[in-house]
Amino acid sequence: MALRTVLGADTADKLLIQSWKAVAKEPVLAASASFASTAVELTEQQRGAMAAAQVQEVFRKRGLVLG
Amino acid sequence: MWVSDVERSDDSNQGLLAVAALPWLAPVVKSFKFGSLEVDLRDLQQSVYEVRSRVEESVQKVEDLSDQVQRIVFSGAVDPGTRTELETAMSGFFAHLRQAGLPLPSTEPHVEVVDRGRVTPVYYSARTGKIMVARKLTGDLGRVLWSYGDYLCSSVLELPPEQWSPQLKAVKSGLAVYLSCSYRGSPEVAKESYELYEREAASDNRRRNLETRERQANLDSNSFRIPKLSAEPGARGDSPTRDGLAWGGTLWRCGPSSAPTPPTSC
Repeated sequence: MALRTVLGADTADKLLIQSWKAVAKEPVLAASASFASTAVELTEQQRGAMAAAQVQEVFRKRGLVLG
Repeated sequence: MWVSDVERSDDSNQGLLAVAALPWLAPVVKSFKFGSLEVDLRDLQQSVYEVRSRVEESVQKVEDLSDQVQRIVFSGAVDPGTRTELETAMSGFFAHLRQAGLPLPSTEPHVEVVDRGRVTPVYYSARTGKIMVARKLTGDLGRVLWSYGDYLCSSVLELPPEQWSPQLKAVKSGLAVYLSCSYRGSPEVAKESYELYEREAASDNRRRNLETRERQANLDSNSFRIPKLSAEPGARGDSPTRDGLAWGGTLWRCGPSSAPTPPTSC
């Protein structure tokens, strides 16, 4: 299930902006993993572990394996 | 002593004094009578309180709205009609992102409309701080909003542009294109540009579309091969746009699914 399906478009936009703000605070070399990990964490906080696993799977399919 | 002073004043002065003294008098005095006029102090105090609350509420609303408006500087070959169209689109997008939690940038966006014949830029340059828009593509609001989103996402970063890593640039560009598509409610990128150039038919799946990035990645004929997110952006000589589209497509897939399923109960 997709994040916007679970959260709704507005909430998904908010969550991704939150993730970006977190990355922007301390930009690291591995910005891709940092941004994706934050998005997964925030999804878990706001919608639970199942939704977070689905978002993580989307990143994994695109070649980004998160720890 | 005080009461005798009040009795010598005219009715207007007495009224003003009574209103000024409301917070102290109202709890102990119910009403004042000035000739034929009787003023109920507690009613008056309640009215003053309600008016003050409404004024404070209105001031707060004005402050909230002013946070969602950004002055845009235009330069170059821009006519009044185009300027209005761009301002309207950009202002709507800005208000949406502000409501979604994006911080207010410290600088004003500068849109430079350029007319350079075959060169048709539409991008945000962090080096110059300008959003460049080719005059013939000003109608491509999707790309304009993508560039504006890139500027807004860049404004969140505290590091100077020369210290941005390729990964950071790719995520930023991808988030910007995702947000512009999300705001417009369509995964299609540069729709108006394609229509302008009449390059490809609407059914051509090589068109930039965040929803179909995976399918496009497998097309032999597609020059826009989609890199893996794990690959180092720019390492293959790819452009920031291509890396950004890879991220935008992924975020879109994180977003609306092509086959929506009902939300889970939480």
